[in-house]
Parts: sequence; structure tokens; C-alpha cells
Amino acid sequence: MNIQPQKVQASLVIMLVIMITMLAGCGGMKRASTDTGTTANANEATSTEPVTVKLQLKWVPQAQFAGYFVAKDKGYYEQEGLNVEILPGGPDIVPEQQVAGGSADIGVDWVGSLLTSQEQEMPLIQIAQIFQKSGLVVVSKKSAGINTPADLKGKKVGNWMGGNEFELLALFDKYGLDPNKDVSFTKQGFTMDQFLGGELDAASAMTYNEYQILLESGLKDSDLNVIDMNDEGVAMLEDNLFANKEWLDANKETAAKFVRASLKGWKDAIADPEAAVDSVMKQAESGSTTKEHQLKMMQEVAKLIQPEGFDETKMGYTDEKMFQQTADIALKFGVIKEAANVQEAYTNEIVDMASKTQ
Amino acid sequence: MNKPSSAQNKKVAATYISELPSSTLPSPHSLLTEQQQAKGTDQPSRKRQSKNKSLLGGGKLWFPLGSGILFVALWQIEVFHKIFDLKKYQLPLPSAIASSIQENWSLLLSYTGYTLAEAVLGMIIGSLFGFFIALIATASPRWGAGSLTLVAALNAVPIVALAPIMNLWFGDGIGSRIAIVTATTMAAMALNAYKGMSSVDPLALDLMHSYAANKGKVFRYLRIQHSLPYVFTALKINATASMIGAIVGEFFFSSQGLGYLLSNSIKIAKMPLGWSCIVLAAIAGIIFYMVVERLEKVCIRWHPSQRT
Repeated sequence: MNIQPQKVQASLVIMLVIMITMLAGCGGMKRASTDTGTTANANEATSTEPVTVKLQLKWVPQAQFAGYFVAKDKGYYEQEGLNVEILPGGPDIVPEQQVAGGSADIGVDWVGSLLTSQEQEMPLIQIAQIFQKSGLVVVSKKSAGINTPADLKGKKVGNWMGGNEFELLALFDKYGLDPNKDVSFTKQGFTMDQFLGGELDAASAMTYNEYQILLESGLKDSDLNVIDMNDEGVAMLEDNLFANKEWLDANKETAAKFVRASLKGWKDAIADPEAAVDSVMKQAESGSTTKEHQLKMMQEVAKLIQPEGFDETKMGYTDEKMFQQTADIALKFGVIKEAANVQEAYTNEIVDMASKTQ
Repeated sequence: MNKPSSAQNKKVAATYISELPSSTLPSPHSLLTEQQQAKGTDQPSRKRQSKNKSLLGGGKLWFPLGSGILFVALWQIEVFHKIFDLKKYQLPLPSAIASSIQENWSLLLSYTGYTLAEAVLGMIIGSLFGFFIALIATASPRWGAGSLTLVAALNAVPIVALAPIMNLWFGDGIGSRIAIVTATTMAAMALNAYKGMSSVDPLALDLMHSYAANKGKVFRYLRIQHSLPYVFTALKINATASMIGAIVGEFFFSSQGLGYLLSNSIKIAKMPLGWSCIVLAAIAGIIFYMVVERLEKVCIRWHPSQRT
């Protein structure tokens, strides 16, 4: 007479389970077919047409990435048979996730966030280390009285977060400061308005960007206290080049060509900052920055890529000791939970290939 | 004849509204037969219900709970990963999320309290504003009608645009997020309360007129009482909207709270922690909604929706 509701419910559950198992089977087949598809394409493309390589920057176009803009402008990528698309970064763009997801092939970011992404099993590997020295500093006005890092206790300290906070966390840990209790660790905006307006006692700044903004706004070096991460021994390696592991396995030649052309662009940028700034200004959003600021940035960035006493032929190589130091700091101060597998985290193979056919 | 007292007015008005059917007044006779009929059809279903209760401990609960557990089990053994071709960092396993909740329990709890405080305070302030706007719009339609359109227009402004403005006005403390939630909850309350206050039955208005009730008394005993069911509908809508407003507001300018922790965790690849925030935000939202629902049961016991 009446269909019992329980029988209907049970049959619905059974139908759902059948549907899910069917979809699982189809899903597996789809994945297998797409994998073979991409490798076939890569092999074909290297023969005749320029190969498209997508580079994901860490932030908006500025002199911090001058080498890539110079290489594109002067045609170095074209000479290697590459068509490079430079994708600008932004506040909500995480280069590791773009590269892991396939939206970009190669990315620029800091080693600290690369290590945390690798811990989450993202298929990424570092192929070059561009910046050999950290440019992160903590600035405070002399009136705030922060002469040593221990004086940060009870103060409002700012950082942009989102992967840029690790060196500061290491600094807090070194001096026994709990970032949630002893220090008011605040999210800093992209401008230095909060610092200039007095809302922040101490702010994070890059030597080549925000620090220059402070000088441009009228403050002098003598007005500011600077805590340098390198001096404190908590500096971590910053701007690098990393790639998707699966893409790299199929495109080693392409990656080597990219790195070769990029290093050439960087060498040119360091040798002739003015011309580099011209290339950058072509790509930068009009009105967002000035030529003078970019020139200052280029000069400071050059100091980080080739610090004093650095062997120029080693540009782009990942130094084992320094990478291990970064990984150790990351482990010691809780950035990563387990020790990073340093052997698999980076490779100098691509830079070696790049330097051979020069 | 004596003027009826205000208490009498209230009693009459309340009983009149609550028993008012949608169509014509029924005769006492038809009412009785309806009740008898209702009792007649009730019997078999009541028997079935008691049977279910004794057999499966509340048959209604078993199916949703069971399918919920089945869903989590399928998720844990990575069925969804296979179907949609997902990696573990794109969709963490429930075990990873659970251990992340456990590790960061005190942080998550304090941030949940912070975000909930933003949502609740913002909702209360926004609802008060909305109710006030509805009052004005009903009391003097000539001046107040435009304010409803304004409030609806404010509701259309996306939080993405509101967040920087509120940040400039109220700094980057809890105030700016409360302001965002206030702005997003005003409209629902204003429109619902206005509907409640203005859709009073003309027969009830005539009754009040026959009692020589002035405008203030009509408002106090008739319109506001009549708007209460609508107000609670708006409160239920606002309960969920305020959680959304608080969390999204924190994405942009905040150093504390579930929204901040969620957006930062995703950026530094701590996916399980991000998902823990989602779980806790969902639980907080559900609790908030249930509190409002309970409040509704207590406050408008006379309304037909609470008596069937």
C-alpha cells in the first residue's frame, strides 16, 4: 500500500554509493590520460616553435625582479627559443600554490615559504638562488627606544605576514618573546602609513623598498633604529627560482635555458641599473612608483644578489651551507615541524646546465 | 462608557492578531470540527513515531548522523581525492584537520571568541539601526520611505569595498569589523521590520481606532508586536550574514580572528589549520543560529508558527 520511507532511504544510500564508486573509476582514468597528454606536448614543442614558460613573480613588477624584465626586453629569452610570460604577483597570490597548481611553471618566492610548502607535500623544487643575502630589517623610530631586539617586548611590531614573517618569528624566538603574548604582532599594510602615523612601534621593511620609502618621506638614517636579520643570525634566504617537479622532469632543457637567460638579464641589470629601471618602468603600473625609487631599489637589490666578497660566477647557485642554515632556522623556530629533506628541496643541476653552454 | 484601559487594549489586540485567520472569520462550530478532524488524522502517525523512537533511538536523527559519518569516512580514505583528482594539500584529510584543531586549540578558541564577538556586536548594533529605520519609515512614510531604499543600496555594497573604508574610519582594531557587520545586517532587519509594522490587518487597525488609541499606542501594542515574527526572521538571516561579514572583513585588515588565521594559513601553506578555521567558523555560526532560534521560541510563543 504505502512505500515505507525507510526502504526509499536505504535504496537512495545504495544508489549514492554506486555513483561514487563509478565516478572514482572515471576520475582515475581521466587523470591518467591528462598526464600522458602534457608530456607529449612538451616533447613536441621543443623542436620548432618558442616554448611558453610562465614565470610567477612574488609581488608587483618592480626592480626586485629586474633581471627577468631586462632579459625579456633585450630578447635573451627569445634567443633561447622561449616565450616567457611574466605574471605579476599581488596580495592574495601565493607563487608556490600557482606553480604547484600548474597556473605557472616557475615562481619567485622566499625559501622559508618554499620549505613550508614542501612540508605540505607540494611538488616543488628550487632551481636557483638569486638573492644571496636577506634584505629584511625591522625599523623603529629612535623615539620608541628599541635599541636591541629584546626591547621589542610589549611593543606593536608589524609584518606583512603571508609567508614573510618567518625571520621575525625566529627573531622573537631567539629573544624568548611569545608572538601572541609578549609582542603585539600586527599585520602590516603595503604602505608604511601605519609606521609613519605612529600606529606601529616597529615595522618590517625591505632594505631596497620600504626602507627607501621612509628615507624618501623625510626620515633620516640617524632617526631610525634598524635591526638587521643577518646581524642577528636569523636571516633566511629570500628570492629564489623554483619549479613544479613534474614540469621540471619533462622540461629540464627549457628550465636551463630560462635560467641562463635570466642570469644574463640580472648581470646586465646590475651592470647598468638605469637601463634596467627603464625595462621595469615599462611593465610597472603607471603611477604606482617613480623612476628614482626603482633606481634606488635596483642599487640595493644588486647588493643582495652580489654581496661583498661574492664570487660572481656563482650567481644563481644555491649554497649548500646557507640553504642548510635556512632550513635549520626554519626547524628550530617552528616554521616547519620536521627537518626538511635538503637534498630534495633544491637542485643546482639546472644552473649547471645553464652555465655549460654559455 | 469608560475608556478601555491600556492593559485591556493590549490583551484584545494580541489575541485578535494571533487568532486572525488569513481569510474570513470562522464560526465557532467550524473551528470545533476542524480540531476534531485534526485529532483524527493524528493518531496513526503518532503511533509510527513512537515505534521509531523505541527501535532506533529517534529515527529522525539516525539518517543524517549516519550519512555524516559516512561522508567523513569516505573523505578520510581519499575517495573525493580520487574523484576530483585532488592532492592532500588541496584537500587535507579529516585526521590532519582534527590534529591541527587539537594542537592549536587555545589559539583557535580565542580567535573564535574574537570573531564571534565581532559578529554578535555588529549584528545587535546593525539590527537596532535597521529597526529604528523601519520605525521611522512606518511612522512618517513621507520622510522615511527613502531611507529604506538607501539601506537596501548600502546592502548592495560588497564587503570588499566596505573593508578599506571602515578601516580608514575606525582604524584596524575590532571596531572596523563591527562596522562592516553593522552595515551588512542593517538592510535585512530594516526591510523585514518594515514589512511587519506596515502589514497589519486593517480590521485590527479599525479595532484600535474604535478604542480611540492614538498613533503611539497603535505602534506600541499593535505594530511592534506584529513585527516581532518578521524581526526574528531578520535576526536569523543576520546571524549567518554577520559571521560571513566578520570573517571576510578580517581577510583584509586584521591581525586576529578566524578570518585572519584562515587567510594567513592558506598563504603559508598550513592547509589543515585553514580548514580548522572553517570547521570552527561553521560550528560557531550554527550555535549562533540556534541561540537566535531558541530566543524566537521564547519571545513569540503566541505566533502560529511556534504553536503548530
